[in-house]
Amino acid sequence: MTIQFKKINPLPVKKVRLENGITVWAIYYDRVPTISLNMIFKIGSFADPDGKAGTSDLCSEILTLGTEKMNSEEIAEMIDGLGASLSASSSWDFTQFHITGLAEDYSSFIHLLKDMVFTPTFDNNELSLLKERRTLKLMQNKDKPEVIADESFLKMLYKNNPYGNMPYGSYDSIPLISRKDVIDFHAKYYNPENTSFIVVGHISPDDVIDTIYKLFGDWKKSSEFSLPEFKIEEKGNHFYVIDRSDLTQSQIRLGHIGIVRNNPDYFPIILDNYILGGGGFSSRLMERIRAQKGYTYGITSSFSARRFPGPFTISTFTATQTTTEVIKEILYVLEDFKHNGPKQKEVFDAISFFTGSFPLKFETPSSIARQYIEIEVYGLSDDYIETYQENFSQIKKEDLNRVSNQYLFPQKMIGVIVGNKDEFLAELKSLGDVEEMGV
Amino acid sequence: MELKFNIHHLENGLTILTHRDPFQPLVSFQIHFKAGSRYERPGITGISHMFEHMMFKGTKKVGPEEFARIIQAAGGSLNAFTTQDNTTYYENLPSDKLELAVKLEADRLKNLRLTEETLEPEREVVRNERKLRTVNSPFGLVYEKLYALAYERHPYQWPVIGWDSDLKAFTLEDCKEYYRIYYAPNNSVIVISGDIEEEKALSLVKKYFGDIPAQKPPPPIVTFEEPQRGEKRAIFKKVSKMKAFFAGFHVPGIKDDDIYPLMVLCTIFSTGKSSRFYKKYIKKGVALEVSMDVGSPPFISMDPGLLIVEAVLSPDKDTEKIEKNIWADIEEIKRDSITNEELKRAKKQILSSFLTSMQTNFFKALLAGMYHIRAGDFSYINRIETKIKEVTIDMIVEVTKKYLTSDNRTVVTLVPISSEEHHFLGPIS
Repeated sequence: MTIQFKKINPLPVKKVRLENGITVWAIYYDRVPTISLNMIFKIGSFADPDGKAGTSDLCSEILTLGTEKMNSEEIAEMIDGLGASLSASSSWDFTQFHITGLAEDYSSFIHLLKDMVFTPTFDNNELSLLKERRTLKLMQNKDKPEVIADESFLKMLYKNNPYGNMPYGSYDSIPLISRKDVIDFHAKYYNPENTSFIVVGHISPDDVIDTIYKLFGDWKKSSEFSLPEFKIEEKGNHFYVIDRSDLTQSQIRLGHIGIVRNNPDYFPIILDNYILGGGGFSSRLMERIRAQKGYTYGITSSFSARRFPGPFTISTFTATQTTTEVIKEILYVLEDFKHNGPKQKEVFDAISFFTGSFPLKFETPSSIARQYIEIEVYGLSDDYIETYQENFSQIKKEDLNRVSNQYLFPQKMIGVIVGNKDEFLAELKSLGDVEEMGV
Repeated sequence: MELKFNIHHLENGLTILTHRDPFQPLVSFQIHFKAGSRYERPGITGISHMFEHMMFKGTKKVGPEEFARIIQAAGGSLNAFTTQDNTTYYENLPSDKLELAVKLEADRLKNLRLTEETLEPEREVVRNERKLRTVNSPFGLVYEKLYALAYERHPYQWPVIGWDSDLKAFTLEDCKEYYRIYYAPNNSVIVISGDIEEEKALSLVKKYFGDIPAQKPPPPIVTFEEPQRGEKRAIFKKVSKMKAFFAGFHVPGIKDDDIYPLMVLCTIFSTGKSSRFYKKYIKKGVALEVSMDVGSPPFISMDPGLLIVEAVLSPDKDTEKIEKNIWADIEEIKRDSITNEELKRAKKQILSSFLTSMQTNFFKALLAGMYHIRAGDFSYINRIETKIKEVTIDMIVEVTKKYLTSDNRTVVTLVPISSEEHHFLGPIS
């Protein structure tokens, strides 16, 4: 069987690298007169100082809350008045300033970005209010069992490594971050050689690049900085239970350390994971645990491929009484998949999905920008988009058999369960070591 | 920006809306049914949503969940959702695979296999979904309480997902009856938006849907809510870190012109960091969230709905005081406090966000399909921009005086309790 697919309609793209190291991608989009303007820094929460999880993310937001020219209210009035939206946040691997709005307002947007990055005020009052808003949000997260499960799983999987924290930090870490911490973070990491612009919109790529050159071309390279060391301690076959006797459902996370984005097997691995648990109703986990057993409304697995090895996570929830049964079933599916790999038809269908659905990622300026951000952050090749569908179509069943075996470890799983422990703890002990933990 | 849809009809009463957009080789195929919790009755609440699940459980030709596998293997994505007023199924896929979606949707409209073997596990899936979205979520049960209290007669009083006791009780026969009455060509609208040739797309729909017989139209919903005569209040106790309150004001449905000034009012209060609520409450950490929402196109209810004011507060805050302050903020609007600048900004925010939503075939089709179901005419979508532009400060003051009154208000307050008290109060489902 040969894989057939419709290629995406290519969009006019221009890429330049300025002398100071800034990369600019300008992509022309004329479906509607809007724009997605992204300023990217290749630094994320992996660089948060020890014990101060959330620094990178907090630093990005404080820059949007006051420059030498405009205070936070004036910025808000400008953005809202243009019918635009502005956000700044860090993920584990990078920081993104994102403005969406009408393309005709590009000049206002890019000038604002310049002021935010070059002349932020780090206003003390704004920072303490921001920290207060963050801690309130983090307090509310304690009412969300799915968030408790996500956060605790990473914590138990990565221990003290920065990937063990959420980029937005924790209820305990945010109050510890000082004004000096964010100023230092900004000074150290907001450098031209760390910066990329991805601009997708109804505006000529030449105009986009000219303006960025005028505003950011003189930004001087700073001295080289070193990235923090990244250590992972692995521990296997261990379940952690967080007791919440008021819940009628358990949140379950299972997994182990996974892969880096630059892993040469990345395509076969995500294809393999699609068949295992990433592909919704086309996946083995969904078929077994939802469709056949009715134990859950949803189950997914994912390899979060990052700069350093990211997590492989299986995520689901089930009525309290079926908690242990669901974990047993997951381990059964995983063992079978590791040793026997996928079937030929599953491989064919999965490839067809990845090749056929690729154009869906090219509908909106923001979704198009996401593709180029990935290229920039992980240093993927410039023809990544052009060759994506072709590369997928070449993958063979044998490749998937190999990666199933090489990258899945059902015997080395860390598990976190948030639920009413009285209903499942005794049974769960039959599956491995169980430890209770607080939130 | 005008959105051009063409309308077509088949003899069996099926309506088809088409829109061409060749930006990428993609198409969104959608079928919207006049089916939702609005059409239910006590005892079978949640059956519309349950039925949405059953539509994926296979036909005489296609196995359980195989529908999804086939669409995904064609490079498509798919899903379905149920609201109070409509149930919608969609496939977003490469445009050369359109026939596959048309064929599969028609097949499940003709040949759905409804058996006890497929119903029972799916019943548990839906009960799990209810646990996830409502019972174990921070405010799901509080929302349910609000609607149950605000509506005394109209079907909007029960949740779309249904009461757990009803989910356990309805039978295969109930499902079959529901399928026969509501899943008829004369009770639905097909929308096709994307890189299509209209004639070809229409001939595909005729080929696969043309032979499905029309059914007797479903009985009309005759129960309406009478104007509320005095504030209603309730307390809901649950284990929670946060305090909160939710208030609903009865407002008109999607076809009423008052909706537009109400949308602008909500934007002035709670969209963006320059909004009144953000500046007064959120920025300063007085509250985690304060918002006012009447829905945005096409998610505005068919019959008179609720404009919802919501506030989430930390445990050390005085809920009563903040609630009073918010009502005072609303009274201020009635005294003509909106500035021209605020009005201009709010309109630009609404129109810009509306324009942004036009970036996908999926949303354009959704807009047309849901308006055709809820307002009875898709062409309402091309009035939205003008209607928003026409809104004046006087119109906003007028709708605020008309609808945002204490007599028209229902308030539910979440009171946090301990785990012990939670168990003492009895089980929740």
